[in-house]
Amino acid sequence: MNKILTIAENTFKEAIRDKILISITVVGFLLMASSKIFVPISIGQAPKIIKDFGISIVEIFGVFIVIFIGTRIFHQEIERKTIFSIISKPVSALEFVAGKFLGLYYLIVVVQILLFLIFLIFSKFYLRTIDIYLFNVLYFLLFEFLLLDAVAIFLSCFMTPLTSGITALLLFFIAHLTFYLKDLTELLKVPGLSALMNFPYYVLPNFSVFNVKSTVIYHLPLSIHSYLLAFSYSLLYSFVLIIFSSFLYSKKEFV
Amino acid sequence: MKILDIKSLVKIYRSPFLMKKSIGIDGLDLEIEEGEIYGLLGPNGAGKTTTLKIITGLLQPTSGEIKLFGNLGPLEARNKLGFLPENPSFYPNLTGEELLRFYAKLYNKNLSKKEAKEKLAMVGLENNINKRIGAYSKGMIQRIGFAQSIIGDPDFIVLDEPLSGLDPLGRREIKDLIVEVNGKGKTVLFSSHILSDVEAICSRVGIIIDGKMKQIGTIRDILGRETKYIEIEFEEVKEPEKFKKYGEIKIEASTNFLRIESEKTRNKVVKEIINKGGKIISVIPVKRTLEEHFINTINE
Amino acid sequence: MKRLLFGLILLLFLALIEIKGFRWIPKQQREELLYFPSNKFVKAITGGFDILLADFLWIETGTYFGKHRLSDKSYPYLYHMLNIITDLDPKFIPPYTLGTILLTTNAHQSNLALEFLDKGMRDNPELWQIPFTKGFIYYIHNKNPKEASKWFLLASYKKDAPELALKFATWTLIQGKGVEITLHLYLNLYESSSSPIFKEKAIEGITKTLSNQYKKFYIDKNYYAQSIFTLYKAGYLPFIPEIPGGVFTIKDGEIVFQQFQ
Repeated sequence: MNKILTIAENTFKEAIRDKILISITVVGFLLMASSKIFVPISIGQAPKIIKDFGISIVEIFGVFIVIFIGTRIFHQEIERKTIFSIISKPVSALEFVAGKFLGLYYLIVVVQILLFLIFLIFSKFYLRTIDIYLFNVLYFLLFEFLLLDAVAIFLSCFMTPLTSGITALLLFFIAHLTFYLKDLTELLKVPGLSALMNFPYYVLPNFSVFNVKSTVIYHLPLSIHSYLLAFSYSLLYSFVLIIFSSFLYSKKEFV
Repeated sequence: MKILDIKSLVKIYRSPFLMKKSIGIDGLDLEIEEGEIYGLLGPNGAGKTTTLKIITGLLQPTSGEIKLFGNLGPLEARNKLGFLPENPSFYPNLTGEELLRFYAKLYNKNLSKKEAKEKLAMVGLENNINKRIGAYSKGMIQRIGFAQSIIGDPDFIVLDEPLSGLDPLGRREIKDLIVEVNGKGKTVLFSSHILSDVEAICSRVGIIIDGKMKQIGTIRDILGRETKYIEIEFEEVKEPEKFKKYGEIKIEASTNFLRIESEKTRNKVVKEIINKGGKIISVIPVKRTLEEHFINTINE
Repeated sequence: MKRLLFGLILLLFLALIEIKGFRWIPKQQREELLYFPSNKFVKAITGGFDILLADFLWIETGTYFGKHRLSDKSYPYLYHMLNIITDLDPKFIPPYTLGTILLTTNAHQSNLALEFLDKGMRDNPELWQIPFTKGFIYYIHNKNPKEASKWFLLASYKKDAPELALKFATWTLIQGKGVEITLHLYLNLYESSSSPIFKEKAIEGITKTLSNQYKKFYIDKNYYAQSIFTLYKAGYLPFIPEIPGGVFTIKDGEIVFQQFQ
């Protein structure tokens, strides 16, 4: 565990010092600040739109970090050849992969919390109020990104950064509509087809588990089951992906 | 005890789509005893780096047997291994101190800031403690690379071109360090193109050509006791060109240099010079260098 | 330096092309960009950002409405946009309440508006605002007090429904309560949204109602009322409607809303 945390800490340090955090924070700050423009054009719905926009920015930046940094995380080590000095040390493939995964996750958590705080500040400034219920979104986002992080790590074990980035993004979008496929199978009632359609629903990561923005914005109640599902689904699925990633990684060669 | 025992090592590279294959190592045998400094020589593309990468786990062999520290498992073996890759690269945003402490933790060792500074001082980087690796020169990278290879106090240190990029002073310092760690009982395996450096510190040398080990032995064994030629410097002889019959002669203003190939004619030539009223300045037997032997071996 | 100058000259040409040339982009093409394909397709591709997209579409709807209000007064895609918004965000109520009013009064598609409100009630059975709006449309535009009463009554059963809902449920069935109900409905519309469009709509509705009573007064009495207060005193108005920031008054023989300076 110590080695995993060591690699995680190193990954986080490297990313932070790459000035990515400052860039994201500045851009996020500017975008949140710009949400004021919705006030005159929102036909009376400024509070809702400002909240939706703010939360979406927090989520979008998380996706951005995973897609652009997470999918490059191994490739960069190989490109820079820093991998040689790690693999030759007594570090197992699982420790290395888990360390990278955790390090990226530290970065995502810091960015999400920072942007969320900026959002709350602007919320107070523009709407004169802070909606405490919105903290629920943060809980679900953190688990969503745990899983997306694991997906990006897994894909980057056997794809180039560009391909894994596009695939991760596609999976993120597709995963929100797998329940449509399931509905379709129930409508069509074709045996072979239903198995085929059910496959993506059950196998692909289902990010709709974490999509509570609508529920939270409208102050609708969240069941304890939603919290538990997000927590357990995210942890388990991520764990499985990391195990598979470490297996793939152990077969890699570094010429 | 044998630190490393390689038998019939083969490494074949296959390109994924074209299914072309190229042979990196073609049946290599290599044994390294505890406490040695072993030099691995070979032309570019011979398989030196491939061999070192297989030893350190960066590449997998296609076939053959590798035993590191007897029969230790890979992770256990790497716990006693230190490695400096060729043209090393490290995390640009860490300082030298942070880098060493990071690598130490991978050996489950906690390096204090003070100890990290001492290690940096050992490789001549004491004035760059807080400098980021990204700002290091090539020579500094090489030095910190050496430092990280010994950070876990390994028993076996593998160095791929450790002297590359260093100025003469730096090369001297690293060579001294290699000898110093060897003096503490560590075994060192290193590859180098700088043959004079290999000659200076290695106890044994292996020459790899086309993925095969062509020659192994001590420097003395490889180069032999034979003298290449004897150079006699003399002066005050009239008509020194008459000594051409014994060998190649270089006549300069005040002194002459005669090269004779056979030890047997040496005494005869010296006597003749003295009889002709000449003065012997020096008689030097010149042995073959490792570089000359190496080039000969490749050309064969 | 030469390269920079050359770059600036190219930039100028580019700007010229944009200013002079962009007007030639076919207008129809721009209009069609407003049209989205199937609602479900749109929902499927949002990747979890459906409520944000709904918000942007709501803003776009406002722009679309405003543009056509000032030009051809035709809104062929209004219903479709509102439909997509509510598919993306079923809990977003203003398309149901305020959107259907525009659909009825401006797009003259009250039947579509009523169907749309049924959809809203399926997605939000707990809300009083949607059946209330249905009652509004039936009463004000379809002139069907019986149907209106039904929907006001349904609204009154919902949680947090205002007392007005139950009052309207009974008043719509009583003769002579029409003006009172209409004024209350428009005042309710004014208070329910901060959007200028809907406030304007509410003032329009109240002005129209007052004008009808003003005309009725003349028909009955053969002379024009001097003030709104006169209409109230004569029993033609149940109360004098008040809107903050202005007052309803008679000017040059017409009912107008005069804003305070």
